[in-house]
Amino acid sequence: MTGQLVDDYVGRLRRETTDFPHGDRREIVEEIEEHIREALAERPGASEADIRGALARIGEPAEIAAEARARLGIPTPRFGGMEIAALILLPVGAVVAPLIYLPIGGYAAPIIAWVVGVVLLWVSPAWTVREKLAGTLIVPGGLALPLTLLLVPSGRLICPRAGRLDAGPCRPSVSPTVETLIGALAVVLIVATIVTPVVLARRLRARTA
Amino acid sequence: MVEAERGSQHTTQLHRGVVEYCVLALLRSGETYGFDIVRRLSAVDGMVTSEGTIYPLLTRLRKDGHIRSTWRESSSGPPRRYYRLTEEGERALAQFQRAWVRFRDGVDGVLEGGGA
Repeated sequence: MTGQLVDDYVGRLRRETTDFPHGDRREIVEEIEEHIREALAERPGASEADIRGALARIGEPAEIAAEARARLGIPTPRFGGMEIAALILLPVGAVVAPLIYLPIGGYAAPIIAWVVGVVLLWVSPAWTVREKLAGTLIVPGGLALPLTLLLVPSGRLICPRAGRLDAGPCRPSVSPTVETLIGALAVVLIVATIVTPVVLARRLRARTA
Repeated sequence: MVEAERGSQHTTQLHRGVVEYCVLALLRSGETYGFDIVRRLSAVDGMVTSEGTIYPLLTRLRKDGHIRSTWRESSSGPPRRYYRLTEEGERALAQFQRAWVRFRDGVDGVLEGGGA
């Protein structure tokens, strides 16, 4: 129970500082953990009320994070226009491109949309490097198009040349198993493309709430 | 309400600027660890509102080169970070102290009605 209180507190501090530069975050969290250890070591057999009191004196994790932002010049994460644009452009490139050849810009427009989305994702201070990597790599973006187009034609029918003696019926160039795999891969790519921005949006909303 | 908020904001700004040098001043008497710094600052009435806010300040002072931290074994528990004043920190502190004394005397004079 008492250990749980401390764990909860440190967990909240970690959540408040997810977007901090890695070293700053580690240093501050480690020092606060050490402070809690020292404070509790002074009172062996501390009751739940004692621990709550000690944590209250240290301050709300949000307050410590705000102080750290002010002292260290770390911007407050915002769910602003840039973030919304990034989360819309990323999947647009990936989902629209394979489906529609736009009259203006052709296949290039969605791919450009994806590239712009990636740039905004990285420029925005709102996400951690890990989240940005996920947004760039898991959202296959422009890659979904070439991948699908490269794979699908391999499923076309191969017909023997007319007039040859051994001419038989047309056969698919790939086995049904391979075809199923390609289909499954396409589904995974499209689902990942939609799920990743949703996850990024939810994490950012939780942080800015 | 608004007045009170504005007042506390000013206090916070004033605090930020001053607490920083109080940390440096504490370290003049030798190196020590975070918990000890916080405890000694907290002993001064109104100096520290939330103990945890001192740690980001220590990070900042270290980045500014005003203090340096090293890991030391402790007799009780895991190793601790010990903080030490650097020459640069000492210079900054001396400069602040001169400015502070002038400022404080001036403010006192005005507040007591004898200034200007």
